[in-house]
Amino acid sequence: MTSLYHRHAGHTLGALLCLAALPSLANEPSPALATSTAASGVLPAITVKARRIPKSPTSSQLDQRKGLNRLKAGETDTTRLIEQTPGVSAYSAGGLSSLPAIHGLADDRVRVQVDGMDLQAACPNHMNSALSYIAPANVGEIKVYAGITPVSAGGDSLGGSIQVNQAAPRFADDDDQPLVQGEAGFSLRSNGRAQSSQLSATYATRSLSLSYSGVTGQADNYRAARGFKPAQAGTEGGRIIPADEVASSAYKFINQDVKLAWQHDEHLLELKLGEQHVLFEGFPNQRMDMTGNRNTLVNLHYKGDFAWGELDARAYTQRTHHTMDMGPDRYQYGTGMPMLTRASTDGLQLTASLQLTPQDTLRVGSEALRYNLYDWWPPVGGAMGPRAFWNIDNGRRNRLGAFAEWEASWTSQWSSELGLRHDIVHADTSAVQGYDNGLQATWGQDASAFNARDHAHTDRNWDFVALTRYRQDAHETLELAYARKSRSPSLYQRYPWSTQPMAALMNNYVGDGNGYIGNEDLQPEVAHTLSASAQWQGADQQAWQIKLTGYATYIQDYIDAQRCHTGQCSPANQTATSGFVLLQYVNQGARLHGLDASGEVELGRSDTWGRFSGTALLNLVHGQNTVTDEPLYNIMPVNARVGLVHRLAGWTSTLELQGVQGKRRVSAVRNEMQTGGYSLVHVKTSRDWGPVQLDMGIDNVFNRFYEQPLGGAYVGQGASMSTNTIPWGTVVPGMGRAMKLAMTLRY
Amino acid sequence: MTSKFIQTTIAMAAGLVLVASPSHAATSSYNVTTTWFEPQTQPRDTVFVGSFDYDSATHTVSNLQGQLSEAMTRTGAKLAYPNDSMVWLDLSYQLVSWHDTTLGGTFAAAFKNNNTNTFYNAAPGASDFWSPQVGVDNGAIFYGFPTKASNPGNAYALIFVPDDPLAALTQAQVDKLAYADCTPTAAGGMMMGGGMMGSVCMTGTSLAAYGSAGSMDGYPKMQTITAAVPEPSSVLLALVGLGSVGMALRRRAC
Repeated sequence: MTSLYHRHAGHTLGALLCLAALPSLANEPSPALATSTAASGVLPAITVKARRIPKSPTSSQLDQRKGLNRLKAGETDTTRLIEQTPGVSAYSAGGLSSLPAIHGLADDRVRVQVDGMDLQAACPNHMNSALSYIAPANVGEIKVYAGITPVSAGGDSLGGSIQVNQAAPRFADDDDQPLVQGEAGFSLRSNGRAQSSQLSATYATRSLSLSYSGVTGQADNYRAARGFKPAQAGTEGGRIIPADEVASSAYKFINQDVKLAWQHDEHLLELKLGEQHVLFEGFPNQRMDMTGNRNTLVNLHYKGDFAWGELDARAYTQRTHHTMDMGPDRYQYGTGMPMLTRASTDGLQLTASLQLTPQDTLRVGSEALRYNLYDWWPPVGGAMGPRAFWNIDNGRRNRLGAFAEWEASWTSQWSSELGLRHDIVHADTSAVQGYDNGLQATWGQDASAFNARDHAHTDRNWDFVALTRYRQDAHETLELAYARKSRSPSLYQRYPWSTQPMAALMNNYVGDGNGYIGNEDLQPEVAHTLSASAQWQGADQQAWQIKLTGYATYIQDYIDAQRCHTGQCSPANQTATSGFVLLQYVNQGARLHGLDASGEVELGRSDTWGRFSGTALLNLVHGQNTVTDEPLYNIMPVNARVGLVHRLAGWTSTLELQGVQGKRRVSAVRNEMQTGGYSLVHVKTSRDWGPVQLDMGIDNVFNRFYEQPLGGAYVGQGASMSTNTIPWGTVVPGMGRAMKLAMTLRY
Repeated sequence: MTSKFIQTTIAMAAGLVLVASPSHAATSSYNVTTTWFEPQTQPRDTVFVGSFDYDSATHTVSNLQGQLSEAMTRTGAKLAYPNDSMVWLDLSYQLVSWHDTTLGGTFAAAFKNNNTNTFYNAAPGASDFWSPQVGVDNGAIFYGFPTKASNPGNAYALIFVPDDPLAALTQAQVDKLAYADCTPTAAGGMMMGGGMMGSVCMTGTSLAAYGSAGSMDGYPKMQTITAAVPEPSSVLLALVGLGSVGMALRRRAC
C-alpha cells in the first residue's frame, strides 16, 4: 500500500472489463491499447483508486463527474451546472450567482460546501452566494443531496446539500517522471457578448503536487427574445436601454487559486489559497449591483488511513470584502448609495470513519463554524448622514455540531442508515445606528427599539435520519427514508431593524423587489420529510434506467413573511395587491410535496448512424403555507426536459426540449407575479480530439420569449431606491437565442 | 347717538355691499393646503399650508407664500398644521405662475429662496432648474451638484388654482401638484449634506403627470382652497343682522 488508497483486485478487474468494453462501445478501437496488447500479450497495468470505506450513496445523492467537462463548457454560473439534477431549480440572480433550490427550499435552506468549506453569502441581497465563490471551470466534482441528506453531509439546512469540489490533486506515478499537466481554454456566448478563459497548470512529483488555476470572464447585459419594457434611459441622462435588453445583468470577474498537496503513504495534506475578485456583477432583480467583491480563502485539509479507519480533518478561513452601489443602468442619486459588507468565516471539521464489522460502518464527526458580519452604509448627506447606517454591526452566527452515522448491511438485499446530529447555533449582534438618530421618526426610533433588546439567541437543533434500502437485484432498488432537519434563522432574517422603506428595500435576497425587516423572535425551522425512491434499470445499465422519488415535507416554524405593520410601514402596505411592499419575516408553517422522475433509454445503435439514446427529467413540487393557506414563494412549476443524445465518431450531440408550465400559484403576501408557460429547444455538440475539446451549442434555438418562473421582479434600471418609482409587474425574462462556443486544450 | 350709529352702520353696510359686489371686485385672498402622500414617512405627509391673492379677471395668482413640512423630520403624530412636530420651511417667494387653459386654472409656485435654482439639470444650455419634470429627469439632484457646498438648499411648492378657486380639483389637476425640498437636514447642514437625502432632493410628483412618483415615493394627494375673507353673501347676511339690531334699538328709543 504505497498510495493513499487501497487497491482492490475486484475493482481492478472491473475496470479492466470496462476498458475492454470501451472500444466496442465507441466503435473505435484504441490504437494504443491494441498495439500494447499485441506487442506484449498482456494488458497494461491499471491502477484503480477507491476509498477503503466507501459511503453508500442514498437515492437523493447524485455524483457528477462524468460529463462535467461538457456541462461546464462556457458556463460561468456554478449553480447552473446542477439545474438539470432531479429536484433542483435555481433562483435567478446575477450572471454568476444563481441561488440553488432543492424541492422548493432555496438558498440558506440548502447546505452548500465548496471544497469542504461551509460558505454563505455576506450581503443583504446574497449577491456573493456560496456557489459563486467557485467558477465552473474549477469544478472537478459535484455531489447533490436532493432531499434526504445523511447527517454527515447535512446540518443547519432543510432542503438538501450541495458539495462542489475542485479536482483531487494529481501526483506522479514515479519520482523520475514528474507529472506536468495543464489546461487552457476559452468560451464565447453571442448573447451579451460573454467571454471567459481559463488557464491551469500542475507540476507534481510522487509526493508533492503544485497547481495554479485562473479563470476570468465578462459579459454585457443579455437580451431577451423581444422587448419586455419601454426603451428608456436607466440612469439620469444616460443611454437609452433597448426594450429587449435586461439591464444590470453584466458581469466581470477573475478567480485565482493555488493548491499545494503533499502525499505520504496513506496520508494526504492539502493547502489551497484562493482569491475571487468580482469587479462588477449586475442584478436585474435587485435594487443595487455588486460593484466589487474580493473573497480570499485558505483551506487546509488532511485525509489519512489508519488501522482503525479513516480520518478527515479540515481547517479553513474566508474573508469577504463586498461593495454594493448603483450600477451604470440605474439612477446614481448624484454620488451613489454605497453599501459595504465585511465578513469572515472560520471553520474546523473532523470526521472519522470506522469499519466496525464487514457489515457495519460508523461515521462520527464534529464541526465548528464561526461567522462574523459587518454591514454598513456610509453617509451620503442630508437625511442619510452624517453617520454611517449600520444594518448589522458585528453580527455573529457561530455553530458547533456533532454527528454519528451508522450504516449497516443486514442481508445481501437489506441495508439501513441511521444518523443523529446536534448543532448549537449561537447568534448575536451589537447595537446599531441610523444615518442620523436625531431624525427620530426616520431612523432614531427604530434604532432605539432595536438597541433596547438583547440580541443573543442560542438554538439547540437536532437532526435525525433513518433510511432503509432494499436492493432486490441489480435491476431494482427501493428506498424509504425519514429525516428531521433543523435550521436556525440567518443573520439577515433576524437582525435588519429599520422600517424605513428605503432601508428595508436594501434587505432582500429573494429577488421579489420588496423590502424586508428582520424579526428577532424567529425560532429555528424544523422539517420532517418522508421520502420514497425506486430505481429500475435494465440488465445492461446502458440500456435503460428509471428513477422515481416522491417526498412530503412538513416544516414547523417555516420562516415566511407577513406585511409589515409597525414603525414606518403605512396602512396601505397591509392591503396592497399590486406594487412592491414591505415585509417582515415570521415563523409560520409549510407543507411541500412532490415528485422527481428521471430516466434514460438507449434507442438504438448502428455502425453507420451511431448510437441514439433518450433522456427525460420531470420535476413536480407543490408548496403551501399551512398558516395562511397561501402558496409558498418562488415554487418552480411543473417542468420537464426531454433529450435526444447522439454519439458518432467521437461527437456527442444533444437535442433537448425543455417545457415549463405557467406559474399560477403565487405568494399573495409578496405580490408575486405569475409567469406564463413556455417550451424551449436547445442543441449542443461536443467533440474530443485527444487533448482538444470543442463544444458548440445554441440555447433557445427558436428565440422564444419567456418569463423565468424563478426570475423575480425586474428592477434592473431606473430609480430603484424607492418602493414604487420603478414600475411593478415585470418579471425578469430569460435569455433569447444564444450561440455558444468553447474550446479547451489539455496537455 | 343711536340714530347716528344706525346711520353710520347703514352707510358702512352699503359701502361694504358695494365693495363686496363681484362685478366690481377682481382680487380676493385665499388659503390653500396641499398634501402629498408620503408612503415612506407615514403617518406624516408633506404638506404646504399657505395663502395667496387671486385676480379672477386675469386668472393671476400673487403673493403665494406659506410653509412646507419635512415629513422625514422629528417625531410624533400629526397635530394641527402647521403646529405639529415636523420641521417647516418658509416658502416666501412666489417666482413662477402661469395660466393653463387646458386644465382650466393657474399654476403658481412659492420658493424658499429668492430664485428658482433647485435641481441639477444635465441638459446642455439648460435654463430650467426647478420644474418637476427636470427633477424627475435628473434624479432630483440638487442644483450645484456635485459640490455640496454649492447647493442653495432651495425648496418649493407648486399649487394649482382653478378658474373657480373654490371648486374641487379634478384628478388631472391634482396630478400636476408638486413639491421639492433640497434643504440639507443633517447636522452640519450645508457642509455635510447635499439634498434632503444625500445628493437627492425629496420630491413629490405623480406618475401620471411627470412619469414618476417623487424621490421617496411621494405623490400629490389633495388640495383645498378656502376664502381668506368672508364671501359677499356672508357680508350681506351680517348687514341684515346689523340692520335688524339697529331697527330694534330705534324702536326701543321711541
